[in-house]
Amino acid sequence: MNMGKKILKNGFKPAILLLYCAQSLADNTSIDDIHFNGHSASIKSQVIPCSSKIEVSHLLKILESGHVDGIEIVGCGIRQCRFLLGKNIAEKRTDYTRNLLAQIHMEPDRIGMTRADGLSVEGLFQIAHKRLKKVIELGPSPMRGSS
Amino acid sequence: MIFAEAKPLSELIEKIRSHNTILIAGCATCVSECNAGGEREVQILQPLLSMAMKKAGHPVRIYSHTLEKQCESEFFDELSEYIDRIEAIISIACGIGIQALSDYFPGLPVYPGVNTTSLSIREEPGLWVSRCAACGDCKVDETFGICPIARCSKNLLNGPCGGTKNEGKCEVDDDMDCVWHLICERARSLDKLDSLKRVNSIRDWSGSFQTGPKRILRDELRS
Repeated sequence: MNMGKKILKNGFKPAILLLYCAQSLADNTSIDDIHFNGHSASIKSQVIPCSSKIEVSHLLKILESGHVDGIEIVGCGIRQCRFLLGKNIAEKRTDYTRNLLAQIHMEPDRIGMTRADGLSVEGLFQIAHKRLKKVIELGPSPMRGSS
Repeated sequence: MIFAEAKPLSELIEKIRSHNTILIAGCATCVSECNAGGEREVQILQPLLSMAMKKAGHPVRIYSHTLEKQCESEFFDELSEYIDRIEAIISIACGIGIQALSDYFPGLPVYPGVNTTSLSIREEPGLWVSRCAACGDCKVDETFGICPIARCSKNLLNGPCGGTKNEGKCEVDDDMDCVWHLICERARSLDKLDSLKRVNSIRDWSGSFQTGPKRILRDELRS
């Protein structure tokens, strides 16, 4: 993490949740390694059997909890989905959620989705890092401290 | 099913601005089927309104509950645990459910969270189309099971207008079938095209919802 000084300067320690499809990882990838809680940022992760298992209400409730400033969903690659359409459903739900956030004047970029497959822990971390950068630009979630 | 669509969030936010505690009441029947007012929508609306109000600097405590049916008062006892704790209800049931709730809890404001718009069928995932106009004088057998009142842009009863496009679409909407094209095709497939030459008698519109409030009394069902 090469952004720590800037974050620590204003006291904002961004936290994001990474929800990733089990199919997006390369074989034999250890999922425990992704958890990161440093001085400058926090990334929590949760493996899911398919990105289509994420409901719009899940995303909204996670944001409402105030525990994280952003969410990144990682779906499997375009031809990898074992449920055939899972990632398409997840993409549409993500877009729908972003639209709902815009309607209540919350930044849609607090939620995003990426498609990938054969990811290493490093690759997964890089995806998380992109959302983290967005969240840093946006600043703390207005729901912080509301839980 | 009775079809409803979610109201704009800005409208709901404005309604609850003067309250501190509200209940969002869903209905598990028609509005659930059309993804406007069931448990899934309740679970979306609750955090959404909660965040909107927190962001506006006026946090509102929001409870939620989905009733099996919101048009039958026998299910309303489930809501009694909330009544002393809430100042208002947002009902995302159809217009019937919203009024039934208002009748049952007359002391509480009940705000509609959806607009009830039609009697529709789900044709494909994510696509609903009108199938009934509640005209009160159903003669859908005369048009081979396809209703021209609900499905024709001009409600024509005796054949197509001049706006049918070559592909059998309606001039009003390129994505909509001309219902008279569908009727003719079905008649042709049944070798009954001649039956469409009959001029239909004048309809009795007195049973239509457009002719005023209805009061239906069936003595055999009353105690």
